[in-house]
Amino acid sequence: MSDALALLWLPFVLSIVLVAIHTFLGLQVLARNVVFVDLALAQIAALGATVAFMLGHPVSSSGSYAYSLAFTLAAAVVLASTRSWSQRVPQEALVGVIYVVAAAAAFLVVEKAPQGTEHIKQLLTGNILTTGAHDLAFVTPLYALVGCGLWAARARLARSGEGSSKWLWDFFFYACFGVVVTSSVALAGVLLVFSFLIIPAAIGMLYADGVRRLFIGWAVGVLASCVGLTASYVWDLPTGSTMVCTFGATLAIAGIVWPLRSRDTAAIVARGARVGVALALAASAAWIAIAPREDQPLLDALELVSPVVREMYLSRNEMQIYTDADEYAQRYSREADRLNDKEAQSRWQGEPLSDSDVRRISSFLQSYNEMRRGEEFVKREVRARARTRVRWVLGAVLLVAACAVFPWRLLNIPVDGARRPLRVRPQAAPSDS
Amino acid sequence: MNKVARVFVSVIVASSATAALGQSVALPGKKMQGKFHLLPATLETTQWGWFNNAQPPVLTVESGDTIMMETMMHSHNQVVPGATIEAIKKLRTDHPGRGPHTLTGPIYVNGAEPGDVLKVKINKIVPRAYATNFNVPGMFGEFPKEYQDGQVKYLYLDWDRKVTEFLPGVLIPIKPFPGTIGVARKEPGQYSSVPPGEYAGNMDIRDLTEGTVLYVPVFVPGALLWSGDSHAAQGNGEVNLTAVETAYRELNVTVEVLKDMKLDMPRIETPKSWITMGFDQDLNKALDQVKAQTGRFLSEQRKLSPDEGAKLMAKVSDCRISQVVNIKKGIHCLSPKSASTKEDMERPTKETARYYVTHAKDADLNKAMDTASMSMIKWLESSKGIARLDAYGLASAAMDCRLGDVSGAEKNVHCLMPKSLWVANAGK
Repeated sequence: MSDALALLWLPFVLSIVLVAIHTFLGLQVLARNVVFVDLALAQIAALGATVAFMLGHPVSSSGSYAYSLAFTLAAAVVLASTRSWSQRVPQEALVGVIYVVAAAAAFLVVEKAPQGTEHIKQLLTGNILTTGAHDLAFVTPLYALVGCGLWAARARLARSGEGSSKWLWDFFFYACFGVVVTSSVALAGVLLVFSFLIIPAAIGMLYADGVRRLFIGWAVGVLASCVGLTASYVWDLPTGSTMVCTFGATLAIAGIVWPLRSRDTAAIVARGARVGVALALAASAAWIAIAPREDQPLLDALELVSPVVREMYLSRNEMQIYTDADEYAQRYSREADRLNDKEAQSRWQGEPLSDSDVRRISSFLQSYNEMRRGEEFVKREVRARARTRVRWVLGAVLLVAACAVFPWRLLNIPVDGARRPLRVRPQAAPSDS
Repeated sequence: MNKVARVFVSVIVASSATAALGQSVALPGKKMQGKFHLLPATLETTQWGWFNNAQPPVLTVESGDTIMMETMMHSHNQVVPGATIEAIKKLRTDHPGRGPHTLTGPIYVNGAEPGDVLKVKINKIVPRAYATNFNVPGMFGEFPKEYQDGQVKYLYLDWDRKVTEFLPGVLIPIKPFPGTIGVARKEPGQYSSVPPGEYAGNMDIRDLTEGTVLYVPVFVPGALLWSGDSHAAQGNGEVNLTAVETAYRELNVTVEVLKDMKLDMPRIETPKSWITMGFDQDLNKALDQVKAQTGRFLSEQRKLSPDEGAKLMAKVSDCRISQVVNIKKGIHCLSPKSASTKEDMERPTKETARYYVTHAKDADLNKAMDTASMSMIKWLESSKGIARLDAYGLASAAMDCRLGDVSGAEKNVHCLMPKSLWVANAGK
């Protein structure tokens, strides 16, 4: 088995389990319009874990879990009891207050604790990579039980009852929710649990109705988890944060693709995109003329995609300095990587390094990072100087490009001055299906 | 880029893969007396903060050989927004006695024995295209109590125009020189790279530029030559601790062992002058030392008695305060090679056509230096509208503090700031 597979298979299986239960819960949360209840309950669970941590219970111990669960169930009681407010004050307001107070209280509790900041970071982003088989063995039957209970009670939960019956079913929902969130936050962190809950469910609701929403959500969630874990491994990034960003990107793609399903809306989107690009080009043209030394996001992006753009306005000497700085920046990165590998290898294999050697490597890493930043500074400076020199030409080119991209027919101004109606595609006759 | 430079760049850019130590290379078409050696700066070829005469050499050369070495910057990234003074102090106290410099070397010169003199000719210096100047909050520098806040400035070194724009409209000429270049001490063990001494080291003498020659006494077999703390420019005084700090893509030196010359302190030969120097924690004692060195040099050069030589120093030698921040403060004096001439002795007390000037006198030379240099910093703030940390940094990078009349009870220090630094539309 390869290293990657050995490291990632357990977190991936856990991700499937988390996606399965959270997508199901997410659909219910979206239907109830209490989107941020997950964040609030997750933060309450985190507060419980923090209190347990300060009382001396190790992280991920049963004591820590008990505190988290107790705090979450107490919050579930509060949430169920305040559902009736929603006729006068949106319940999201209370949910937001619970989140903010729980977060602030957690900071207060760990204020004087050594490694307190690290503990808070751990609670936010979790560490799904360190999941063990025992975690999976614990949460899988628990989530299955909760899922079956909620499925069985789905009709009663959907019904808007009155009085104590309504309170009881609300409490049942929030309590189930709290049990799941308490366990999930301990494994994956507040942010990733929120992503598991809302994003697959939102995409499911965007593209389908009925039970198909659940299947779409599951498929999307599993795919995003797979991509996130792989990206985290390949680029050596923090797993939790990478997975959250991957889920966010998945929602963005789903949002972009959704209007393109219809040819008419696709045409409208295409025209809108052309207007957007043209405006961005025109704004860039003005910005480079006004402030050539400042950040030029569009030009930077163009150069990233096609370095030839840079070669068009840098002089030969400037290009040589730029290339030289780039080569050295890469060299310093390689040197830093080599030192990191050396230090890592000494920990896992071979002779351990002495304290003096570790300090020396640390100093060299700082120096290499500093020198790499110096080379990046040179690249920015050379580019800024060249852009200042050719700002009017670059501005004019960008303006011409903006004019070329802009869909002039939208303005309906023909060359001969007569106004012509916009060509509209005939609408298809509504079908019975 | 010439053929030599291309070879060097290709070696050092690839050095991470090979972790190359020094390499000897043959240069086709290059007529040189000795061999040519390339020495990239890597973990294996550099030392951090210590001189230790037991350090195994990274390169062995013969007398007359030329070395093309690369140097690294020393890290200053502890000076970051939000870093507490406690954290920065801890960084230093965790490594007591260690200097901040990353030094390339040591280079073993075959044939060099204790008692000899090592001649190091600076053939060529090519810095990287960037530099920094920074102030460590509340620590180091001439005025740590007054500057409890820190900052880092990145500077682009315009090698075509040989200037760097320190502030909008303020251009400092680039005159690169190695802040630290020296040989091993005779005492065994590890010694901080910060204080200079008879082994040269962290002299921070800005006149040691391309084309000059350093003569340094040898204390151990092979001499063991290091260099680092690479500067693109520096003021005389280096008051905020840092110069225009950079790294060299090429420091090209030729080394030669001189058996006949005897020295107890380093000397520098420039095209027109000889430089003698003195170092001590007390600037008054550094002055005594440089007086003795210069007096001896002048008496040898002009066949005078030591007393006559010392008296002549006041008339012909031009003394500058090299730095006041390296534990041992330094003064260096330029004396003309020609026995019939004298050095530039301009010591204004008021603004001239070329310089903004501050002046102070005190029985204690340390106090005179503090007063004159702080007056210039305050003047830059009030008259030029420069922010206080920028003024501190500019003084460190470009102010020229000169030793004035020291014959009476009070010693004079004159700090000059060239007006030519202020250039309209400098960056355009």
